[in-house]
Amino acid sequence: MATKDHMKALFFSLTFVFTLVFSFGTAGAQSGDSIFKGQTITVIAGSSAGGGTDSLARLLARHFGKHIPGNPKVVVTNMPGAAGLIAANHLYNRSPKDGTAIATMATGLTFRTALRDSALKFQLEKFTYLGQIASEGNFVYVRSDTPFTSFEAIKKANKEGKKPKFGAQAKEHNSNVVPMALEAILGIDVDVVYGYPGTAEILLDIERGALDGRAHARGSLFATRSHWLEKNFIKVLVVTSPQRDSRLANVPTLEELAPPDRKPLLEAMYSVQGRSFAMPPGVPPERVKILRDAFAAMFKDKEFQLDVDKLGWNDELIHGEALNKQVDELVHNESAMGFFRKILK
Amino acid sequence: MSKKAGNKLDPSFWLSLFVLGVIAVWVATAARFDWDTRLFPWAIGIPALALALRQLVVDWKGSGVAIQEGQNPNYPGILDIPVDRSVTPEVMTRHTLRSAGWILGFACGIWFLGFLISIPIFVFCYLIYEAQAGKVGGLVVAGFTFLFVWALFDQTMHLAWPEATLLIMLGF
Amino acid sequence: MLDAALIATGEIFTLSRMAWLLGGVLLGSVIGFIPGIGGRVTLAILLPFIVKMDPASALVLIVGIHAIGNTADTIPAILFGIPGSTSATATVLDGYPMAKRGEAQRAFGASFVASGIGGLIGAFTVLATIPVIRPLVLTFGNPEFFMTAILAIVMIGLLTGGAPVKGLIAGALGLLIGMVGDAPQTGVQRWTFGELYLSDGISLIPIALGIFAIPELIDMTLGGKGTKIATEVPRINISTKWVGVKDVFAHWWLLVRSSFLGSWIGILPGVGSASAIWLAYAHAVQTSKDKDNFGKGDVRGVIAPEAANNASDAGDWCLTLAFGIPGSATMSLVLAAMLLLGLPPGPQMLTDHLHLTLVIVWSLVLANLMATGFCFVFTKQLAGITKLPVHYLFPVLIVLIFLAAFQSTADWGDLVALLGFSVLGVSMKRFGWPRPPLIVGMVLQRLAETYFFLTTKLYGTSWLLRPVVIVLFILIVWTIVHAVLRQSRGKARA
Repeated sequence: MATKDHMKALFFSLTFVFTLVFSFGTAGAQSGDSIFKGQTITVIAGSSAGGGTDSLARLLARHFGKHIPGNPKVVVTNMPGAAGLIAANHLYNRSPKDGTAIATMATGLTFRTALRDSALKFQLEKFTYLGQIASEGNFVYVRSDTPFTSFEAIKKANKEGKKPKFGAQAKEHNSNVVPMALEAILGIDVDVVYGYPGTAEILLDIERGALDGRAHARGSLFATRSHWLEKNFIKVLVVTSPQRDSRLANVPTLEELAPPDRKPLLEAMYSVQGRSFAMPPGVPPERVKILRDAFAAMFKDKEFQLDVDKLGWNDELIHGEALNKQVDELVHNESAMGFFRKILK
Repeated sequence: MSKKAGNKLDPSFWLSLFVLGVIAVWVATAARFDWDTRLFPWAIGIPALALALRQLVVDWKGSGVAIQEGQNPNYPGILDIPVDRSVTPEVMTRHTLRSAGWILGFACGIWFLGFLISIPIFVFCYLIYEAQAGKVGGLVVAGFTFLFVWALFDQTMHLAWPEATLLIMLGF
Repeated sequence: MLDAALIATGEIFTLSRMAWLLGGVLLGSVIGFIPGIGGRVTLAILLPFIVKMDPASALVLIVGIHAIGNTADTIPAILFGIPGSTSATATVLDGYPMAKRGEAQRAFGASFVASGIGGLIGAFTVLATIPVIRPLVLTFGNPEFFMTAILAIVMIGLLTGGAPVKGLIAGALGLLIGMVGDAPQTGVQRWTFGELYLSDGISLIPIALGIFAIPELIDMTLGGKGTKIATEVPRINISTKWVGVKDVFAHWWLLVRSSFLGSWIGILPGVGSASAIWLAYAHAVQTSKDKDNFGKGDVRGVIAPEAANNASDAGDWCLTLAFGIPGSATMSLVLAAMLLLGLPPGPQMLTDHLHLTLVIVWSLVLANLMATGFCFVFTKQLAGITKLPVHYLFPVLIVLIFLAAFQSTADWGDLVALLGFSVLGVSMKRFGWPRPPLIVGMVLQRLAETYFFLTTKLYGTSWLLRPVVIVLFILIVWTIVHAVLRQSRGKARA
């Protein structure tokens, strides 16, 4: 076995460079007639290599091709900048409209649409959505040793002029939007310190005691700090997905805690927590159908599911057609858009 | 740079002026921002402005740096690669402009024809005109460069090439 | 910890693991030497393959690719004066003059051996520190990081003995340029003029290449047709790489000090290798009695930064593994790979998965040796490039520079930035403005501002009274005083 691995490794490294060009050139050549045979589909990742968005794009690239008739090659190209905005602008205006261009869609784009950001060179609902593969949902938690271990406790502290300090990344990032939404929906006051370069730095400051807590994507919390839960280092106050998380069954959902008049705003919250892909407007309908069906088929693939689990994401398919409708409704939902505008000012 | 007799202006004066201008604009435009956003720019920019002003004055008076006629100025103790002092400033300037011309030409080529076409053309032309290489040598090097670029950046990295203006106009 | 170490030793010293390590080194060497590209891109390309491997083998492969990237970036630095990455910038100052003197082999010999040993010392220092790393990083908070960033910039700016003012201005300019884009705290767009490209800030790679690479390439071709990089005839006692090796051992104490400096700085999030090399260089200058040769081809100017650079690597890895904080772009890719392998970075890497962490440390040690050994073997051939006519090298290098700049964000803006900063770079070089502080300012800007804001928001003003902050403040003041004294002493002598 060792010798076999040894030979494999040597062969791999020595001939990799030379066979690279030729193997890529001939890969994907299959028999069977299909529009996509021999084509290359490009997935644009709206971030630089190594981030969550990049992982998403590469996840698609790894699994998508084999479910599309004709088995086209699927490659990733990075177009970082403005938290996914540059990629979206490019996809909408410059990418080919024949089904060979896909991009990751950042949730921040919804907020920018609400804010009527002039840098947007597209209309969010006019993209042709391929589908959504995971719906996140955030846990909001605090350190167990703070006086903020329940919403009643927070409200009480607010009366005394104290606010829990939460850490967040960029302003349009969920780590900031979710606490802001909680303020509006639950009537509490929090102090969100945004500008953290990444999730790890926020976690570090929580450990240091410089922060009291944060909103954290569910999968990411389990993937990176599950021992905090085991040791009761933190107390999770609420989860922002429609159902309770089976791994933390006694954490209430926002729906359960929200007063009745605020419940419509929750729909808006749910729709901005997914990881989705889109194509430019104007792709011929038969191609769209082929790709959306392939997307759904990929979702059922066991290997795909395994990878999604490794990334800590909660897999939930939303079919492209349904997603298009959902986005369209959201964009025209004045109360939701107004809500985002209000909390993001 | 031409030197007027008796004028002790250090050639670095113009660069100092430019830097001062940039920092001044920086600091001034930062006034438009809210306090949080302008804090760090001002914390850095205002002391920098003072230093840049001082440097400008020093350069205006002539820093006492040895500027011999026909030689490039000698700036001792600077933590950087020293300038070649074996050529005259005129030769240096001419050469710099000529090289810049080639580089700009290449950039224009990319604008019009895209990377993959202009790369072999640029390499070939430069080798022929500047290196005075033979046609065969030029073709070989240009060809290998193109192959390497194509294999690595196009086929392997799938770099998102920009659109070439001319090709768009021609309908490609 | 001992049983984890034993398990790790068992895991790494298998034929297949060693083969993967070597494979990584070889793969990385294919493009590792291209300025601006290097290990990060190799990793990105291979990511789909890596995640199908078993975790230990995958990590080993990654370490191999990374290790050679770290060593290979010295190659263009010495040959052309073009740093392959920001970590090789300090090596340019003395390595390139050495190459022009025909001593490229000596420079390579010294740099590869210094890198190799530096990496070893770094790995073992980090290993010894593993028990205290967590408390250490937890004590070092945002205020301390901020002060460290400022200290680094001040030190490097003031390193220019002849013109400290220009150095400080250059550093400030670097910071200001880095502020273009959205303010980390408020998200407000600063100096972007509505251009989308600028809204994320100008990318570092086009700037670094414009400031360093293009001016050097232009100056390289100053001589007429037929000029080679090595413009002088080598001295009678032929300088081979072994002379370089002897140099390293002649200055072994500097080597050790630089390595310690590097490994400690590497542990600090973000401050990393870009600062480590300069601090080591500054330290080498300040602690030597005959400073005059620095910047003209003093081999100590190659040994110190190279040792510090590789030493900081181990610290960088530990930070990524134990805290999930990538110290550089390459580390972000490592993080992504780890997540895909089901190995989330965090405290478990120092407890439950300690054996994997130790596998990585072992791999670092071995990869370092393999990479530097590999480069060392080919030193003569590499140095041979200095005998090629520069007019053949110029167009090829220009092409690679343009591509490296463009691939950072695949936007026209990258090329515009490259050209614009070339003009600045040429001017700075001609008129005696030091360029390194500008790059360091740029590299550290986001960090410095982020930590500054988080500090003020989280601690108000009480941060100024923290003990480490006070120590760092005293260091900064001392550096300034020292530089001012040195300059007036220099004037008095003149």
